[in-house]
Amino acid sequence: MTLGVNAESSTTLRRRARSLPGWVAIVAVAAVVAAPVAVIIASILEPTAEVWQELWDTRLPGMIRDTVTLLVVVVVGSTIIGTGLAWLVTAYRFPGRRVLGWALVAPLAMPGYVLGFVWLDTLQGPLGARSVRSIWLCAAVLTMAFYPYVYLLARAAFRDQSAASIAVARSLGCTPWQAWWRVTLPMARPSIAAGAALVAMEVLTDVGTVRLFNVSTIADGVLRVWFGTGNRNAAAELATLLIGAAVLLIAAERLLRGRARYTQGGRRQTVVPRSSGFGSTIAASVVGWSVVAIAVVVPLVRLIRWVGEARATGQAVAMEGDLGHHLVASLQVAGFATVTCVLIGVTLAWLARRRGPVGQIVARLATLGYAVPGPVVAVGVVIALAAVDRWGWVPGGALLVGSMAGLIYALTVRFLAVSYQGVEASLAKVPPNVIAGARTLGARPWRVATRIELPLIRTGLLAASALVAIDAMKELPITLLLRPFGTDTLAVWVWRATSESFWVQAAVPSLAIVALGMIPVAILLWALERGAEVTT
Amino acid sequence: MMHERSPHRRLTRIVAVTLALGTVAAACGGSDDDSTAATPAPTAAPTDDVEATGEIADEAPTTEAPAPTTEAPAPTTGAPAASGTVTVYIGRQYGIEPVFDSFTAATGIEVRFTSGGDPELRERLIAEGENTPADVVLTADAANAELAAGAGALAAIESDALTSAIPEELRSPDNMWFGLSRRARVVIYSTERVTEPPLTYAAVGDPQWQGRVCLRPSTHPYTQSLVASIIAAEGQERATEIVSSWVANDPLYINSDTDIYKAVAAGECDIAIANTYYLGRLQLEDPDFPVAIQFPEQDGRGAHVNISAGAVTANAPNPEAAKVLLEWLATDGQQEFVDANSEYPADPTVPTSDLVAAWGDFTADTGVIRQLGELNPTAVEVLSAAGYE
Amino acid sequence: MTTVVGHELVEQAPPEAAALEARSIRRVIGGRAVVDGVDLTVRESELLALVGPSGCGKSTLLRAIAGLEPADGQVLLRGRDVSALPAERRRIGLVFQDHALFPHLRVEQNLTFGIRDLSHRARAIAVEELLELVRLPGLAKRYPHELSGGEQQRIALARALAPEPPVVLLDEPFANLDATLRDSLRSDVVAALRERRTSAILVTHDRDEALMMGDRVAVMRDGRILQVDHPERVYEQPVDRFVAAFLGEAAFFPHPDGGVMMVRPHDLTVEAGGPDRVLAHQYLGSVWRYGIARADGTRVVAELPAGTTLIEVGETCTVRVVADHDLYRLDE
Repeated sequence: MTLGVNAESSTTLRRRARSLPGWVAIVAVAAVVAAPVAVIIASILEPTAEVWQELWDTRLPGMIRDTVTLLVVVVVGSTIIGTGLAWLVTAYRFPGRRVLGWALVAPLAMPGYVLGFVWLDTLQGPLGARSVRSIWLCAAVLTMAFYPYVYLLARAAFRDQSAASIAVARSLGCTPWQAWWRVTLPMARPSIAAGAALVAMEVLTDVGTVRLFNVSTIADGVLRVWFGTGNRNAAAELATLLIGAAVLLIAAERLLRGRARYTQGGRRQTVVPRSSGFGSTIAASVVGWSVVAIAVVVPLVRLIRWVGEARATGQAVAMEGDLGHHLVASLQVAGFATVTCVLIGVTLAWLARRRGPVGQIVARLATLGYAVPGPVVAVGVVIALAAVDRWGWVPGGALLVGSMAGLIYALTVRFLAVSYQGVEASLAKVPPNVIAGARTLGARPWRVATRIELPLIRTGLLAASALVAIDAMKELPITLLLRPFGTDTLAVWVWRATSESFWVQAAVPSLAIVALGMIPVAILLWALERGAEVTT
Repeated sequence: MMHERSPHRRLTRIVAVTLALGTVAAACGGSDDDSTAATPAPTAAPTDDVEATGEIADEAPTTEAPAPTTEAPAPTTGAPAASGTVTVYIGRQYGIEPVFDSFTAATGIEVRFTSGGDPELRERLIAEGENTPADVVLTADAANAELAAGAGALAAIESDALTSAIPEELRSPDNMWFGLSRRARVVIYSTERVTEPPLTYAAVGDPQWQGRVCLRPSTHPYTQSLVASIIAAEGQERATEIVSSWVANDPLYINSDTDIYKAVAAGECDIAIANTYYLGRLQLEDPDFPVAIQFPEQDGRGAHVNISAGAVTANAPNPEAAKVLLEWLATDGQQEFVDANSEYPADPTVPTSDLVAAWGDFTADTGVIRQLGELNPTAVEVLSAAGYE
Repeated sequence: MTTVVGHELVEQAPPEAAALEARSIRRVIGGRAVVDGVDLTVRESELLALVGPSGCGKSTLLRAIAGLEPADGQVLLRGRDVSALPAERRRIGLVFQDHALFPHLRVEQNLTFGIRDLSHRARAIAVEELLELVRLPGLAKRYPHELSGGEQQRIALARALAPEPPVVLLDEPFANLDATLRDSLRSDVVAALRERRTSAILVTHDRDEALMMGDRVAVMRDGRILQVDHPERVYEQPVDRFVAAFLGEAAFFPHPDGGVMMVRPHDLTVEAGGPDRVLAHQYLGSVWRYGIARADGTRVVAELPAGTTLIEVGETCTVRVVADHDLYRLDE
């Protein structure tokens, strides 16, 4: 090691920025993933004015109203519930606290449409079919399905917070409540906002749950226009509205954060949970377990009872016979989607990291699919792939549309954002000096990536994989439209049964989805305990 | 609910999954095709077993004469021998598997199918273009068949068997699609609370039904086709008035006919518009189900009837087999196909099941069926304009 | 510049009520008395250094005084009993090792966090004064992460001083800083406290820091205060072997009158040849420091003025006590 080497190594990252192949690679990968979304957005180049006029005169105002209402209620609800519960399990010691801490994540494994139809049917009796189909109940169900995103991120933020900050606030005259409000909460705000943004995306793109409750959102309107009139263009334009809304949301969150950075450096004492009195122990347990009951326990009990009914009528035997096949299909689809998303996520993040802000923007463009409802992604993918198929670009004459490759591609377009965020956040935590150090020891970039960066971001990768797997497992519209023959996932089974209101027959696959989903949820928890980051 | 019924293919796939974590399922033909022995088809003739899709079909024994039963005419006489696998996009969700099993047993042709909403499948078919793996489309509704035909995704079928079995008004003028069963969309009412149900669709909008009506949302093709039939009979302006009068009754929208029946039974509403065959399913479970059918427009054009249409795709890899399937469904398989879901036969010579016959005879508005596709966009417009949810 | 610390002010302080008086503070966690009956008094304008090994309970004591931890005993602030008051009403300032600046707030917002009830104008003036006090004018608009480590710690002190508390508790405030920064910051902290006439308790595990900065030094071990006195007294006349060894190198020789006498390295001289052996030596500029194994197996540290002839490692030698003062005698 000579003196000169070190100086050179510090410019290593920048020097590579000029290399052409890297740029070609990042643009190519991003272009492939962004293509279906681009196809959709390109539709606004041929505006269909008369459809818009008609929409505006009829349904669009209602759609916008419902979408905004749902968005506000679910995001606010998820934020309050997720943040409150996160603080509860971080700061207070009460019996069953650890178990509750895990149980509160479990709804992640519960698809919104399953939660929706179970509660719809359960409340239909007492409330009546009319009042059960309301935007408020829909919002409640979506809140129960999505609050874990906020909960997980807020909990991580609270857990890593310095207890000293709270102590100082107290010494400066804040009551415990004021200290929480003025210090603890604002310090966790970026994480909470990131969780809320995830929830917002899920709400914007949900099509399964809203239909159960007769709620006409814009995402639902996209399908309405597309499949009702066959007017692909008008539907795509409507979808572009959604993408715009998502981009605005993300921009607003970034803008709000401004220059402030929320990480605290150095060693620190973290918040130590304190024992609470008898009264507050009871209160905390009741609140926490009620949420678990509403979001997990009651639906599960209900589903299990339906399975019992199905057994009693003999329907269950045939269903259980089919279970293996659907289970394998679900595992296959979720597994491939996860591996693909993470591989591409790592590639993009790794390439983008060496290419400054422009590279980051290029990579981000590839993740826009997260803001597009599943069916729209599916049709964008079909259009893009059909073009490829027509030109016969795929060697061997194999076809992409209707193939597993096509399905996985579509799921990647939809969920790449999830893995990319996690990978990017993990990579950002790898100190540049470590990489510089490796380079001075003679390691080529590939070796640095495989020997230094990958091992360092392992936990982050695991968390990202788990999140993608959870999403892919629950995903319905894309799988429904693009699955190859013989690949009927559990979600497809649920859809087939519920589209005719055969709740009893939907119970077995619904339970299987939840059970299967618990695996990545457990992995996610494990990774988060080890400090994995899931958002930037 | 398996698509592929023969056990060896399932096994092959699971093995493939285990070995390679599941590449696109592709059972190798030839080596493992012997378990179709259950098929009672008389002779086996090895044929092309590799489809243009790259999927590999079972090398199935085929029939030289594709109509093994004696009582039906031999519809495909003179047609090229069909074999292999027929691939179906199906917009119907339930009760089709046993029918396909019977078809395979009768002809030796394997069926694989993918189900989905009619509109989604239609869009997928159009996007796939000449590369589609689908041979046959079975819709739950006429409009979607006509819309697919309009987009050039279907091929005309020359078949004497079909044209003789299916009445003219139940198939497209250019033989692009054939109605394989009839489904009546009627007024249903609570037998406990209603003695004089509406006798026309327009009467559902009568103010006496304020807050007492259940309807299916406008996103569903059934609703759209019903409104299209009203437009055809009474004009767009009057149709808008009628739909508006429904909306004025503050209907409860339920996106499932089964739930609509249950809602009427539970007292959530007193009358509703729904398809008849759901009552068949419910009466199988509970013979005293307290909901009855009123066929509307019996003094005029007749009750709205839609069809479950069958069509061959424009780029079908196996059009011969596709044609055989449609012919079989229209003839030998007609009874089973129709009864599997308590529907009305398309072939007037085929009797209805006892269950269905008990609902009574009715006049059907079949003349409009060919127009449903054409009028669909107008119907969607009318529904939007009336504020129908 | 670290020798600025003088004791004159302490001597001049009027003998009125102490700034802070802790009586019989006791805190039991999991059956163990982490703080075991501590009495401690901080005089007006005094900087009391509280030193002890890690885990001796000094941070817990601090938290108990601040009201952040429930504890038995009494805390009097300028004679007023605040034991029953929650932390936010005690008016005790806090500065932590990890500065604990609020990362979402700008410097000025951090500084005015505790003085919200002042008028806008008064707060602006306060910010300016506080930044002057800690010698960081012009940084009001920065965010904490845009400051260096030393700057962050200065702002943390200024923030604690903003509400003009009678006492500030400093919990290892220099531990995260590098040596040069630490020196300048130490003197600036002392200066700022003096200028504001604010009393302080400085918790540290660094004996040099304690001796250098404390007007008085309290040595703590296992939840108890062993000794409180002026730095030189604690260093020269420790109450026991632990205090003696904790505050600096010390060897103990039997005293003719019983007990042992404490010998600091500068009380020893080393000559070549003899029963003892040199194990190591370090050059410290003004002195040579020797590590020596004595013939009886004990080890001692001796310091000889620079310029004396070096005895190499491994060579034999003789250690002698050459103190020009009476050696301090400890009872065993």
